[in-house]
Amino acid sequence: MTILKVDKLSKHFGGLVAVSNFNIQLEQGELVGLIGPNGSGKTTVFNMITGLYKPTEGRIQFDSKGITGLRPDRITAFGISRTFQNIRLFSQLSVLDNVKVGCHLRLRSSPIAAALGLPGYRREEQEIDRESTSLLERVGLADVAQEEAGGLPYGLQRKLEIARALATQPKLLLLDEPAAGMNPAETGELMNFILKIMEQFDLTVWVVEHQMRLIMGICPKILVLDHGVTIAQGTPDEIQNDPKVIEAYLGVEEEDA
Amino acid sequence: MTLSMFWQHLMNGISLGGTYALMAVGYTMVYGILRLINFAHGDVFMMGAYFAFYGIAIFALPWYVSFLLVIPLTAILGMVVERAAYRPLRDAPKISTLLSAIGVSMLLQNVGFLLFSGIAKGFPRPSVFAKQWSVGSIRFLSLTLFTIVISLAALVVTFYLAYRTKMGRAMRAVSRDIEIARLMGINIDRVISFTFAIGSALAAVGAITWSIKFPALVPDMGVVPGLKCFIAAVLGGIGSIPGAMLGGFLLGIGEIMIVAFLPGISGYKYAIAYSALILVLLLKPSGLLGKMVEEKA
Amino acid sequence: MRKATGRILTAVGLLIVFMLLSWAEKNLDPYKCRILNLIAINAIWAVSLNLIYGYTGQFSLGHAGIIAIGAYASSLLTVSVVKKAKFFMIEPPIWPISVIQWPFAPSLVVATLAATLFGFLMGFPALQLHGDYMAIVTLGFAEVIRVFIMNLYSITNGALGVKAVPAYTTLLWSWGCLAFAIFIVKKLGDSSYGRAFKAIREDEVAAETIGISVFHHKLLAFTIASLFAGLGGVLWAHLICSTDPNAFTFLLSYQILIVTVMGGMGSLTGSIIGSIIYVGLAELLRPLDTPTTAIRILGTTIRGHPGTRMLVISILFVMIILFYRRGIMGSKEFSWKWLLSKLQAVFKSKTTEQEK
Repeated sequence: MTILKVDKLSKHFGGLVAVSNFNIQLEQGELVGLIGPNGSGKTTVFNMITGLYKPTEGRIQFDSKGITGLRPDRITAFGISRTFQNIRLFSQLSVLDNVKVGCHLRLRSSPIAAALGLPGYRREEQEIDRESTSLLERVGLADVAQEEAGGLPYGLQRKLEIARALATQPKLLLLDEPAAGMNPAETGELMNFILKIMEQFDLTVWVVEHQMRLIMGICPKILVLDHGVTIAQGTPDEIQNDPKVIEAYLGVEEEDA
Repeated sequence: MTLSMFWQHLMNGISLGGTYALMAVGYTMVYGILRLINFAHGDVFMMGAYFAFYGIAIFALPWYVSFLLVIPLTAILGMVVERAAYRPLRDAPKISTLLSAIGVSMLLQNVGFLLFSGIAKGFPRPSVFAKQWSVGSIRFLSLTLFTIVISLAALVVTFYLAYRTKMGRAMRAVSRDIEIARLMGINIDRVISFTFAIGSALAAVGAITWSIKFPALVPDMGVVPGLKCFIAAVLGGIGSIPGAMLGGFLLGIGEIMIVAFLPGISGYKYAIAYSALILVLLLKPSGLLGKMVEEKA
Repeated sequence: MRKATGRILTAVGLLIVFMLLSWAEKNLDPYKCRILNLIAINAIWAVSLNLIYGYTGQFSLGHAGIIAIGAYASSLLTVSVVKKAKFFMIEPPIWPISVIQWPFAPSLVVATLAATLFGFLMGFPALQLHGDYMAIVTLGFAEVIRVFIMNLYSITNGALGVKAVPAYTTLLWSWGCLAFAIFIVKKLGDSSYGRAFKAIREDEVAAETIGISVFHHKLLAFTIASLFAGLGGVLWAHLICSTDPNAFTFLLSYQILIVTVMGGMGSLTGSIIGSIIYVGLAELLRPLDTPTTAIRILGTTIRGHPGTRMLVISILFVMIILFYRRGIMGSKEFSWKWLLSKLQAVFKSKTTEQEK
């Protein structure tokens, strides 16, 4: 069933058109890639879907509910979670606490119950602890649970950001350039990781990437963005051979005089 | 309320507004460059007033000499404050610079209380400022006209410096984007010092025009005008020099008019100014002349 | 060390402290009791500011206003009807102030709630802004509160202030309230809400993306902090037995800022330590303020001059900001585990010395 439907999404910053007439339809369980040269508007699309920007035009429907222009935390409550291009962890909190924060939106107890340590709250806190610890184990970060998040090596920080996003129990996970700064070995690991969590957590995943290898390697469906406009959509083979895509990435071939 | 009374109030408003504009420009220039509200600005203003007073009282300088000397002296004070209390914190979290500004502000007031005592000192009013003039049926003190002229002159000089000199261009570049300015080879430290110097010099001129009008000097005299001028700068559009000038004049005129036309609520004029500030910040944070810039996440 | 052991130690520690305080209340002279009360009250205020800034990363300079609400509300509720009629000289007090005369406990509760309400009202616009702007708006709000207090003679007696406030604050009340404040703020800080606050402090955008309603949480922290600020105000009014608008200027907010920064933003233990140091310093340096007294440092005598005390404290504050930003405790807390490890270290070095 269709989980995400985006119609005619556009974003203007004053005179600059960052994204123009973006359309996409995601089925549950799909793995989709969005690529394009730097500045093509990929992150802007994500930002609009997750509520960080208000779209200038267009509609976004998630799970048949309209979410256009809602606040980011409301959108996350609906079931969309994301990671950022420049990793945005809560650096001074521990690894475990970072994940626990992801569980906060499901908390039912009031602040008073929390401040007084009432039994209802204590039970929820234990549940959060169980869930978060289990999540760290499944992701392979259990040994560093008590470390300060900011002190982790880069690759583990990426994993933690994903784990934190998973803690919100999303149906749709948006990954913004998850392979940034990774070498080929790490990128390979990340690819397997993404496939693994998709299965384990029953996710729909949408990846924005600059690196071809990751997207071509695992995404059956790819969209290509250039200067805010969708210039191609298809399978990895189709995309690789599409002249418009090649032109966008490499520039037009000079005609011999 | 007769027409001539209205013109009198308007003149007073413009005169007061001129003083506010001078200080507001100082705030807006520093904010434009450092994104810092210089809490100590009002207290530099206070120091300027006292410098002028002591120039006459202790050093027995003629008033025009004292007034002129005060300007570079106060500029130096401003630069010293920046060098000692703000520059070391350039790489620290923003809040530290704010805390430092608060600390310096209180420090200057404490120094003031210690050196000058809390007893009000009487700022001299040279006789040329105390003449009663009239144009038609509008009566005013000569100082009202003079303060307008002095304020406008100072503002014109500032405009010239900001828009017609190389340093001014550098200053505006740093306001726009400090990293790019640095990459273009602009000496950031010098630009910042220059900005503080101009801002403080303007505060000194403001202090003189203020004290001629309100001759009671106390060490915390800069607090209320300082906050008011910050409001003026925000109203006009923080970071915009013309905006600060506009905001200053509007505030001055508004204040006088409220006291004149609505004397019942004049005790609350401070509250009104603050409510205006909150409304502007919430509804149109870029102020009257500022540009709406949506922040990229 | 197990949690239960830590809890027992804390309980025993508290018991000892309160026994000492009861003894002090009966046996120490009023001057010393006043100092101890001031330490507790300043610590409560620092804890309150810590919740807003240390935990949630928001900067408020409006504490003086909230404290004023608490102080005034409680004073007006408790001062005797007869005395009110007397010192409300410019305008008579309005109903119901003219007829109310409540005992301490209900006044404390109502006044604290009033302060909490004002905190909510202040936070609502202010927390929609950031950094410097929030600072100015909260500062302005506090000043507006003061302006209203100064002008509403029939409610607050304006610039004349409220006198003859009954001296209800005892060491048990002030330190008891401090214990309560620390208990609540620590519990909240360690809870999921505390994690949410800290997440907001670290990265607001990321926090919002993780599903935290940032504005609501900021407002929550601010409102709870205002509760404690107001509580401190009530205790203060009943300690110095009067209120007047000049006590609630920015100077008060600045004072609390000094205490919190000195102790360490984000540390509750630091709030107590900062308060002890600040109040202690303010008292020790008192001779600096009067020309007839002097203090001797390193063999030289420094004569007093009005205003020196505040100057020294301000210089200290700026020095701390420039060179020792994290304050004494940084954001760490006292814990029994830490004390044990320090004792073990000392014990170990002593035994190795003996073995040599």
